[in-house]
Amino acid sequence: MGSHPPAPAGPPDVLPRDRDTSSHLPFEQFYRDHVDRIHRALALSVGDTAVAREATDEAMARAYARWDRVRRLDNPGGWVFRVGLNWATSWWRKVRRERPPAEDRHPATAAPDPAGLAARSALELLPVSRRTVIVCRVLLDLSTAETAAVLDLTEGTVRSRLSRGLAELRAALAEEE
Amino acid sequence: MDVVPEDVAELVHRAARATAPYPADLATVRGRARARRRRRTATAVAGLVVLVALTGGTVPLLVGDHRPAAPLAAPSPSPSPTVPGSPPPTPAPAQRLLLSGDGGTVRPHRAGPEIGLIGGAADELRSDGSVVRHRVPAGWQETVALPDGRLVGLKLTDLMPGVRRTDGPDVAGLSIKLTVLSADGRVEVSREIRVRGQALGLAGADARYAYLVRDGVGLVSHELTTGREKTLIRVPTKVDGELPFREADVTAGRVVSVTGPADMTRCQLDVRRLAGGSRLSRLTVAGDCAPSVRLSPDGSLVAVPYRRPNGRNLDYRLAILDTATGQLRADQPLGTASPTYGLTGGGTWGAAWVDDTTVRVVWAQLPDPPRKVYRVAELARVVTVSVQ
Repeated sequence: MGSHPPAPAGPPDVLPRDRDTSSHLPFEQFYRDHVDRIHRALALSVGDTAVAREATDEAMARAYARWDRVRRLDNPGGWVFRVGLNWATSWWRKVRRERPPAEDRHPATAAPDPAGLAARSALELLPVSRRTVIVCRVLLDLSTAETAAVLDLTEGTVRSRLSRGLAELRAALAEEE
Repeated sequence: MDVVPEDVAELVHRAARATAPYPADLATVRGRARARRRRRTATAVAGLVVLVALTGGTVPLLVGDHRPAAPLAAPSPSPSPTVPGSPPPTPAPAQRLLLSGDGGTVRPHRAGPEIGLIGGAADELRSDGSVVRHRVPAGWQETVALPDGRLVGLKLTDLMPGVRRTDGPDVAGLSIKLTVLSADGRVEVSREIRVRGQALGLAGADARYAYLVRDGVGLVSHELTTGREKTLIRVPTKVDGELPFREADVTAGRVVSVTGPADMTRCQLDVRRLAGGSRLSRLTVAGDCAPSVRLSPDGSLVAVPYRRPNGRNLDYRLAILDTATGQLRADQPLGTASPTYGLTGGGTWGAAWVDDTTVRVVWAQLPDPPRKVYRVAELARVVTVSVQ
């Protein structure tokens, strides 16, 4: 055969239209503008703040290492999120490199919002695949097509997971109430 | 549904705000990028790999039962790497079982003890239940254990210690030697195999060849006695910096490796013939593949440890698939792991076939509550799975 394609560690380069940045944006500014949002999105998606922080660091390091290419993508933020998600959900990488910081699984914020904490608990009850779609649509403000591109899914799958995820989220929130 | 109701969207935003903010640190990201390039200078693919420490010693370990989840007794140190006069295992397993993986540690409270689970040295779980920590040279990075008692690995040496230079595959003053250790620990082969500018990995080995993954080339056989190399499966490019043949195993003229993207719900593997590289089958399991994917000695079956989410926990299972048809021959639970202070509290730590139908898998899990840093050998349990 001779052309066996290896598995991609990141998302495809062709992503939807630019909403995040321009091709002239320096990495430092991209980092300042996006890192917290991507970190929170990963924390909700993988359900573990320590792993999300590691994943954010790793994904940002990869973006930094090849910024000349990443900055030209239509959606560098989506690329970084996908790389971080791949990293966080890879058992192999976690086992080999897991060095989480010493803290609780979900460190409390300065003034915890009970409704926010309840919503976070409800989100954690969802399967990762549905939770991730919700996070992409809501936190990263991606359209259905953009979410499909970032997560390498069909748009139909995105709609299906979103619909089921929202229904389950409502049910979980109702139970918590 | 294609629209998120505003009230739900607001709650998701509040859930995100309830997460601690990211402690932005650009210097850390830059340092991590440099470290990543340095790591990939040496190896980027995971085959049957074991991180090996520098000290050795025999660790007697008793096993009462090799049936599912049989607990192993705690090890105690012993000074020699082998046990002279000990009876040979009967029958000898077809493949040797190494405890693979690094693990991780964490200090949950500033004044409290560090806890965690670490793989440590090149620990081998023998068929009689004892654990042997093999002595390996400094800089030893990957290990393949041959049935004849030898170990094959890569030995990395910094030839310019203390000299600051640019990291990456092109870094100056780095030696990577393919090294073969005899059963008694002697160095049988030590051969420079690094090509500057080219990332490199060890995917497997047998009595005659080591199987290397070379960036820009693909899977290469390296004859142990002569050093002659031959490209077996050409893969000229890598994707996003990753070498191909992830979590590979090479046995009986076949290579199996993970080929799909990382996904908690599905893992894709390809089985290919070494001769010509044609794909024999494409396999899938319903979860995230773990390391220690192993082909059976005759290459007809493959054992795939994997995990999948179960609420906040992770269920670990072992699938056995037919490499010719892709048929699932067995799918057995191994254990359930819970997050422990950000660590994955358990997991699989190696697999090896006893014969063509029976495979052993190592499962280890932190106790609740964990009180120290445990070695995998202390907590390891062996799960045995057979197919007809």
